[in-house]
Amino acid sequence: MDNKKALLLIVPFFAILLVIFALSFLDNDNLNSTEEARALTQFPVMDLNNPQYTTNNINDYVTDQFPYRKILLKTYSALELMQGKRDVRDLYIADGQWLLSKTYKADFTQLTGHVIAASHKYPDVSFWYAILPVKSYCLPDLDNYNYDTASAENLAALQKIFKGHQQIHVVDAADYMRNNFTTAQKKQQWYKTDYHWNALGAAATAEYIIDQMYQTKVISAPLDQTKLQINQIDALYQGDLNRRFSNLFSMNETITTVSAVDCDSYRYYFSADDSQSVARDTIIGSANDSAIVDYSGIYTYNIAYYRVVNSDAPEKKTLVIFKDSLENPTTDIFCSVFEQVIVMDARNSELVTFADVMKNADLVLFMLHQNNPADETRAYIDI
Amino acid sequence: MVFSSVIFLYFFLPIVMLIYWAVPYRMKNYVCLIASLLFYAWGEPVLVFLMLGSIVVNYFFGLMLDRFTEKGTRKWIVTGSVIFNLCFLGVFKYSVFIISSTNSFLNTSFNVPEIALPLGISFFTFQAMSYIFDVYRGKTAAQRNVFKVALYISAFPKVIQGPIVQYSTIVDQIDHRTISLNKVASGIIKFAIGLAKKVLLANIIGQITDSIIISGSTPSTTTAAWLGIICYALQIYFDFSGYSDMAIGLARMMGFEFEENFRYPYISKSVSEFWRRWHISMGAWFRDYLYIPLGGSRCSKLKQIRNILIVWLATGIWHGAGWTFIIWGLYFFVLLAAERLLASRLEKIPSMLRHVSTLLLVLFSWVIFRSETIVDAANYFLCMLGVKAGELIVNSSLLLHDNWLILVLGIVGSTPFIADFVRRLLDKPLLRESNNLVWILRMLFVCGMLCLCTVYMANSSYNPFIYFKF
Repeated sequence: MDNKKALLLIVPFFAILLVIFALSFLDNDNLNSTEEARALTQFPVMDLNNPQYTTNNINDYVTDQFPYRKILLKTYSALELMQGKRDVRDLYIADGQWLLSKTYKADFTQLTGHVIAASHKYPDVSFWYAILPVKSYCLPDLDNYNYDTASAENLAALQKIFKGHQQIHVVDAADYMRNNFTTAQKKQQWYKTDYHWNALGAAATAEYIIDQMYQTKVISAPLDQTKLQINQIDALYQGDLNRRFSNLFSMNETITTVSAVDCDSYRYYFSADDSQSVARDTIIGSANDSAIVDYSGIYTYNIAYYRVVNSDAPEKKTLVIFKDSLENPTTDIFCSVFEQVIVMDARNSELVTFADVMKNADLVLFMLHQNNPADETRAYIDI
Repeated sequence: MVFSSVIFLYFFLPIVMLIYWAVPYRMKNYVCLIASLLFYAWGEPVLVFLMLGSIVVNYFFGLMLDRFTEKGTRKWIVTGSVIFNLCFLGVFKYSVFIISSTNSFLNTSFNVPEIALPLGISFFTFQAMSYIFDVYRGKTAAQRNVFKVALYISAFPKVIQGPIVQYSTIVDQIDHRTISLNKVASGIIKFAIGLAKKVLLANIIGQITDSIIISGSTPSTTTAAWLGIICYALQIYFDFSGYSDMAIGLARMMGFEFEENFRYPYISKSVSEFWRRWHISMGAWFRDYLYIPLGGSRCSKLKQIRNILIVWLATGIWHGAGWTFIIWGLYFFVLLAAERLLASRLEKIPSMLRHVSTLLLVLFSWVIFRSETIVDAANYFLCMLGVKAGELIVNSSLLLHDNWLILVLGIVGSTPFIADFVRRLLDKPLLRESNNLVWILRMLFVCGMLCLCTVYMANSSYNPFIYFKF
């Protein structure tokens, strides 16, 4: 005999399936997933020549556009964290609150080959390569974290390659930042939930680089600290790594910026000549008054090319910086020293050639982190 | 299409089931057949015609067997069908292996063809052969309705990854089956258990396996090597038994009854017991259609050993076109032959020791099974035995720290402990008397598992079924 009570199970089960089925058609499609930092699959165009491609894409589409998927992603992260995992969403979690990217061995031969070749091609220009630290290398003593072996190998590889190329001044900011501060100090220099450092870490590194320049007499005066000010921002911080966890980690972070006292007198350009003058806030984020700020909102943007002129700078020289995003908080510091600072982000560079950039350069400074083989920068250095 | 995907669970399943239940009884087979072909075509839009071709050819072989009564002629027909089905498998599954092996052994340079492996070819071909054998043996009459043969071979719950249902066990159900609320509910529970096994255990444990067992490299520590193979043992069990549970559950929702395919194989105390508990439907196929016709156990010891050799060589080859699978089959031949010859002595060994040694032997077999080359397998063995470390850095302590819960659940779940516990719980007076409460608990379990699996399915792209490639 049929047990009608079985409906107590059958109806809810199929109700869930059918409600989700209906919601799939009612819900609008999303373009991107901020949590996964990727574009979501859109409904595919039917390809009758390759039907399997179409069906596979539909599979991806229905998964990517699952109703309320954001909530499911957040639930997934929460479930993983509840289990006390230390390796979640391709990130390491240390001290229960520090998010650290995984590191991998990199091949620097191409990049360094181009840098060395450029230093030979422009013998009158002083070449500097600052090896910037990554968070996992600087903070090896976080509780429950000792998984970064690649960063030290990458650093050693870079140092080995540059050995014997005296024309390039190598600044090992990675070891400097790792060894010259206490753990408590270092924790103040990095965002817990972001890949990047804050202004304290960036400023300490920039000061070290400038000091090295001064020690080698490439510049005539040391950094004047009175020309700089550290500002603290009272806001919540949107860490880029926290996005992957749907902000399940605390957004309360010490947010600092560093700016030049006289930055109002600086002039900013998107061009090598004075034709494209721009306002300061087109290159430096001005989200200081927002309730929630992120890295790109308070430091310089990743702009392909910009030029800053400080007529009152003590050093009447032009500094060209090839950078990755760790440089972003430091621009004002270099501007307080050099009359002209050209900042290149080769990831976005298309308009200005390497030769053009090098025309007026007195110093070239590569500011790339220790695990960054910077393929775009290597490709940009047109030797 | 895989059962543990969003498209199957939230689109295919509700639509097909609602239509299936809604249509009159005489239409149900057609709905099931159309759904099955759609299901297969979703993964193999072109090669579905290959399966249809196999169905039609086997249908005609069946009709011919029915038409000719003379023993010799029938033998020729069945031989023809076996040759056809083996050639079918040979071309699409083994030709690349045969030609490339010939090239490397004989130094020839035959062109290695690029032939796509149709999903589940070993499963549906073996079922087609089961149909022919059962008709030949007179266990059942030839099916005159080609759609019913097509339904038997292509039914979507089992077409891609089994269980390998023998025709004689299901022919009556194709014609007459009952669909009851109890059966549907029981099918849903079975499906939910299978889904949870696959999504919450096999997929998660599989990620650990994949980080340790990588073709061409060996882990740097013995601990990692053992962790990797234990994880693989759990992964393949939950993956395959999860799929089988889902298949049985889906079939049950449509009124079919498939035999169980797994019965806690890791609690076995001998290798032969393991194979009575692992992939039961495949073991039954080889037993009924190969081992017994060869003489089975009712012949001299020497012939018994020969029969075991043939069966296990065939089993190895069935699993895949590669030397590792052949060696894997031969490995089990050696173990089973030894068990057969030493049966009386082995029985004297303490039960616990037999259990542990069986587990170890099975774990070793998975090393061969999982490796892509014999060299990979040999290196992995050496690493497990602490003889030679590899170069693949694996953070075993982190993997264990992060996954201990899932591993414990996996180990406990691979024994009858949880099922026994639930059975005993349901036997408690409170639950025995309150039918409503039992059903509410079942509903909460099923819906909970469904929601939890959905969270993991919507999040993860890792969803491979290991037995798909067979």
